[in-house]
Amino acid sequence: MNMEKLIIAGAGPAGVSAALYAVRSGITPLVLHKGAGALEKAAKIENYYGLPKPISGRELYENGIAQLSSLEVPVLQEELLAVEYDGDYTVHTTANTYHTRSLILATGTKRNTLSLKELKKYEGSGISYCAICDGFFYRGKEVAVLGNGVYALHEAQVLEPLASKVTILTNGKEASFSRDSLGSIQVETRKIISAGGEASLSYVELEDHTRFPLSGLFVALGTADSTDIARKLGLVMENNHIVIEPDTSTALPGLFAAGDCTGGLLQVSKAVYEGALAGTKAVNYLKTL
Amino acid sequence: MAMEITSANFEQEVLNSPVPVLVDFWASWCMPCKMLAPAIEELSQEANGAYKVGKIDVDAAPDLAARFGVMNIPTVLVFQGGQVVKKSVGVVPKQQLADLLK
Repeated sequence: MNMEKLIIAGAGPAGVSAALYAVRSGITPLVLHKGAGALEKAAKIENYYGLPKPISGRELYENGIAQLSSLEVPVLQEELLAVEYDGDYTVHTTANTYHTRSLILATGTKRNTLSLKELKKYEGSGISYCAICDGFFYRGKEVAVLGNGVYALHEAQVLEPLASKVTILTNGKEASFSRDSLGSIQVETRKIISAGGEASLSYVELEDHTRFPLSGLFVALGTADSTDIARKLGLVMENNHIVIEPDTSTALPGLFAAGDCTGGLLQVSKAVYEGALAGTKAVNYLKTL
Repeated sequence: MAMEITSANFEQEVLNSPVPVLVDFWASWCMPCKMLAPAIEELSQEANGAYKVGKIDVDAAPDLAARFGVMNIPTVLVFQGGQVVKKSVGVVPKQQLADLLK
């Protein structure tokens, strides 16, 4: 088994900064990323040190990756799916499985959350964010996964052997799955307008007011980001952000988080600072092993 | 040590308890449950008879999970006078659990 010393998930300001400081401290990390994320949407970045002219988010992102390439840091474009911890970390992506002693979560945070007021109400009674934790409670029941990407499909596949029926709810989006990949998993593309049930969730209401019956709804929007991974590892979350120590460490040894996923100012400057700290602290951690 | 609660001792230890009982629903295969476990143990050690702390392995007692509508783990319920009075889902700081007992 090939064991990496440090994997950094994310190649935005936090991830690249973490990698730069790790390299400076003598460890070359493996950087995994899925594309420009929030920076893609930033047409102009002006409020950052040393930019006499505005720069586009995409350009900044590409510059960061070029900077890593010039230091011969391996950067792979692979989407994260899941992370397991058993003293070391096993990182599953759409392409590979890696083992690493230390991991920095710096994938940014999702902007595409679903504004369904019932999500909070049924949290703990039908809404779940973790198929592998909670699938147990839905044996022989009808469940749905909310999302439309590889991550949603991954969650649906975890549930498929347990539940009597698994449907992926794309919420108005054209399904992105190939028929072959679905197996017995169904897809429903109509928009969701509300959710309801007595003591626990029992249906979602679709745009044409038909009720779609279900016992559980697993939320797996977009790609698996740092907050999805952190929640499944059992880190304390606050307002969908990872709660970190001031030095970016978490409750798990060797696991650090930096950038938008930790909340606070969603700014390049803050992500760069936390990344620098996480890269340094991760190397310090590796030296203690 | 937090007490192991099973279907056999649930009524006596939880429903008939004269003091509040904080019950952690968990499973061995649930990573977030493992992360919450130290906080549960600490609360148990700090109880001093003011409350009790128990753990229910949902694999061993799925009936208890179903009876109280537990559909996510970890879920923490606080029982008082035979009734559920507080509920917390997911991994939360220890203080947040302690506040459930106030």
